Amino acid sequence: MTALPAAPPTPTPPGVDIAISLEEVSRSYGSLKAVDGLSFTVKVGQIFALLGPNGAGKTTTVEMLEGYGKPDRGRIRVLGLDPVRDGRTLKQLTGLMLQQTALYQKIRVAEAIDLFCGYYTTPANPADLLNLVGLESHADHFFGDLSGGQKQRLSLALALAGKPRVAFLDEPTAAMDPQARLQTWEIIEKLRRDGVTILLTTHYMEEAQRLADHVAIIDHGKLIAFGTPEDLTASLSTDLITFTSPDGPALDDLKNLPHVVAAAKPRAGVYTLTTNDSLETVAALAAWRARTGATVERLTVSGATLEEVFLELTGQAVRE
Amino acid sequence: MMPLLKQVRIEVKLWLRRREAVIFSLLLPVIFLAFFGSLYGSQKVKTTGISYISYLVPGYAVYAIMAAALGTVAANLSVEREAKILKRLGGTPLPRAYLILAKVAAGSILIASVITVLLLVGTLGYKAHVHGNLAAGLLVLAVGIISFSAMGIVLGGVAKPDSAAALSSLVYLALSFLGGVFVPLDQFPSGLRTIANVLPSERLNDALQTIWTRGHTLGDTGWDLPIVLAWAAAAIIIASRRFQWE
Repeated sequence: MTALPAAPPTPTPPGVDIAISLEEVSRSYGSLKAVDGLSFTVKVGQIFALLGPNGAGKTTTVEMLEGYGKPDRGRIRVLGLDPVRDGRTLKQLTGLMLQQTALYQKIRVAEAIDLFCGYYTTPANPADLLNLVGLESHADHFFGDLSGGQKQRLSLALALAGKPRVAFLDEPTAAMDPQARLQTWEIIEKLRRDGVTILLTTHYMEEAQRLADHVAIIDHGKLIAFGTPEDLTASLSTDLITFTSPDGPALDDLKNLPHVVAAAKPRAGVYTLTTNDSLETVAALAAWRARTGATVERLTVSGATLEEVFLELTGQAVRE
Repeated sequence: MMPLLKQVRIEVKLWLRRREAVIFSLLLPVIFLAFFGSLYGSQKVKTTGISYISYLVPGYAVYAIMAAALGTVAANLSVEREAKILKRLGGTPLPRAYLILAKVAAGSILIASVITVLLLVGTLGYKAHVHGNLAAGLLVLAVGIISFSAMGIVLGGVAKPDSAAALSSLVYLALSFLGGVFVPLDQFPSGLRTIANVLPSERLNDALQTIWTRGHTLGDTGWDLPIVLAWAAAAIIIASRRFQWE
């Protein structure tokens, strides 16, 4: 049992609108620096997305904010409190979704929501939570019998059991089909309207682009970009050319076209070229088509998305 | 207090929904008693003149305590750690101590039910004689349940989930045989008897036999309870150092 703190923890002073702050936070596992001098702040009521390739330190960062581990160096505050020292107080004010959904296999959906609501002094209404995540018709099902997406929706409901002021969502839509993902985005947007501060990690750039007020991209435990999604995409001078081609041209051929930074094949028959001069690249593509007789259809040119920002900054695709 | 009670209630429910837990820790002790009771129930032990069934009731009570408090508690804890359930609950305001307390309390409730059934089956079905002071019997049972729960928590806190169920079963079965829970100690070779004398299973069995079967007092149990409690203390010390939540 942890001893009571000597002085009562200080609540967020009025007028201070910082919900989460990290100052020069580092955490190592053996010789691996998982988080290396990370600093950022999240304002109250924001949705903040933490992006990074696998192993970048996202989960280590989130779990320190949740009080699962102390930083080796640096200072973390959530609602003005220290997540480890003031854990008892802070856990009443926060909710969380772990990356891996974890619950008793043989607990029923409604029982789990009731159980979790019972942990908090000012709980949400269990029936409302069930409706919010759309699991009313599964209230009597065992957790172990739910689909991956349903488990995550239940996990989201449990994160909200205490009517949190701050919610930490580690990959909240990872196992969901597109429809469930859309519903979850709407729930998260509703939480923002209710004034909840949300820190989420995600592999889905469209998720960050749609939801996030602020984005931090981290790699090797360091912050490499920080700003609104618009700031970040505007900072990039590249455009994206998308076209379809049933013949399956070699990516290497496409990569060698002038001004192409990267070439990718997101789906069979669909190609994307990241270019820093779209006009020159399109012209070269037309010449290449005339020369080789390849098919190039439905060509579009669009401005950079977070996906390209991510690619440029980390040198790798988000999902590999 | 309310979160603790709710946690106990859900632990009891979850326990009853796990088939292996129900079979091994709740049904088997009763089935064993009924089976051996119908085989040897009426025979009397020559040296004491007490019916064999009167020795079986405390023996299977000890077995039930070990199967539940040591076996099921260890297996569940280990699985819940590996599945990150302990970690997830650690992210809520529920104190971690409550999580452990709720498991011990749920186990105690189920063990008490099994022992009640054992007593009813033994006395009504096979005319076992259960003597002794009620409070003394309850005290011995409480010491046994708490001590073996502590050992179950240690095992569950350190064992890998794929081996926890097998390992804890092995431990309580070995303790049952070596402790003379199934076969009376006087049929053991002297070397094994020396080992049995320091085992918590033998000591708990002896304490319960002293009160229930021989109708003696708590004072006559001698070093039985201190030795059981010493095992519990050792378990708690190891658990406080080695228990892994994640």
